[in-house]
Amino acid sequence: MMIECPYCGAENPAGADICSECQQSLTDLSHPSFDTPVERGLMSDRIEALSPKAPLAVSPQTTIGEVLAKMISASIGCVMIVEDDQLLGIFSEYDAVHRIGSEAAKMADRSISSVMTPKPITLDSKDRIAFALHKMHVGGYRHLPIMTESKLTGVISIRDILGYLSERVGVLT
Amino acid sequence: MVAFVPRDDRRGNVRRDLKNRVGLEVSFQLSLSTESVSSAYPDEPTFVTPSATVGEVIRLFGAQQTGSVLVCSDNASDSGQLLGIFTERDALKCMAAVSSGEQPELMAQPVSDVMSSELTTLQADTTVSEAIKLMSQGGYRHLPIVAEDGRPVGMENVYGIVHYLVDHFPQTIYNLPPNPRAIPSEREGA
Repeated sequence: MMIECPYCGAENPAGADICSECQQSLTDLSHPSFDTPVERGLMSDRIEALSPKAPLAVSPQTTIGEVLAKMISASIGCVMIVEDDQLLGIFSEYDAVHRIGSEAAKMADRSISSVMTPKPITLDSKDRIAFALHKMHVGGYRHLPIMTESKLTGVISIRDILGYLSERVGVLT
Repeated sequence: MVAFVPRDDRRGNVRRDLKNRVGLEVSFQLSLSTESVSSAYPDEPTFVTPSATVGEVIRLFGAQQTGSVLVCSDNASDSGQLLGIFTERDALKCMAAVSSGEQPELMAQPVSDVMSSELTTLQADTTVSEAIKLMSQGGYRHLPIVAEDGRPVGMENVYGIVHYLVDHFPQTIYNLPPNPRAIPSEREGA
């Protein structure tokens, strides 16, 4: 993509600092532009607008069997492992199927901390939704723990993002 | 250096604004309602026979790096017909039932006992917006794509849809810094 120098009309590559012809500064021309309302929304709406669900928190000593039962009874896809208000890890359906799988009976009495994903990536409830989409899409995560003032307050899932996007692009009207 | 005001500084901006307001919005809506799910990154489905055991299928999830399998008939008469779907969620339910001792032998049972057989399916020409509707209303993460004769040809999942949507505004997502709260001390060079 090329940008036109407003001073002399020469074409310059997008993002150039100065015009290659007249050496005038072009820095003001390369501000990001958000072309659609969806993009503007993603960059201006905060994660709290998705109203993150309250997380299902368990202690690291909870057994795998108990956690599996809780996930089913609460119809939830992931649990947060929390101790002293600190988020230690996350355990999702994916972890359950890939790390425990058909060994569920044998492993039922082990503690959840042995199979959790430690130190998950978190976002703040004041961060923009675009960052949540970025983490989930690029990182391939299905759930993101959401912190408010460095305390775990919620969790958002890829389904929340899909709901937000499809509302914005006019699919669900 | 003497600064001078460019004469038609606004020209480029006006052109860009007009394009934004009319062109892109319309084209986005249009592509959602005309493009079919085959452009929204469907996966190759993984097939199992109805007699495969639950344990085997769960191990297959790990080996194939997939979150769902399609259970297809292996009878000579209707070979390849889609009978049901078994996803990570179903696997989790089975694992919970096994670990609580409720149904200790579940892992050795055939997957056809526990699969979901009430299926919502897509056709190859279903539009993306229709697929999104079905997915969010039903709360599904995976929807099989079937051919006219009822044979499954693909698997659309929620990541494919999100990938498709992000393709319409790649700069907004792919150009983000990894940390939302880091403020760079100086401007990055181009």
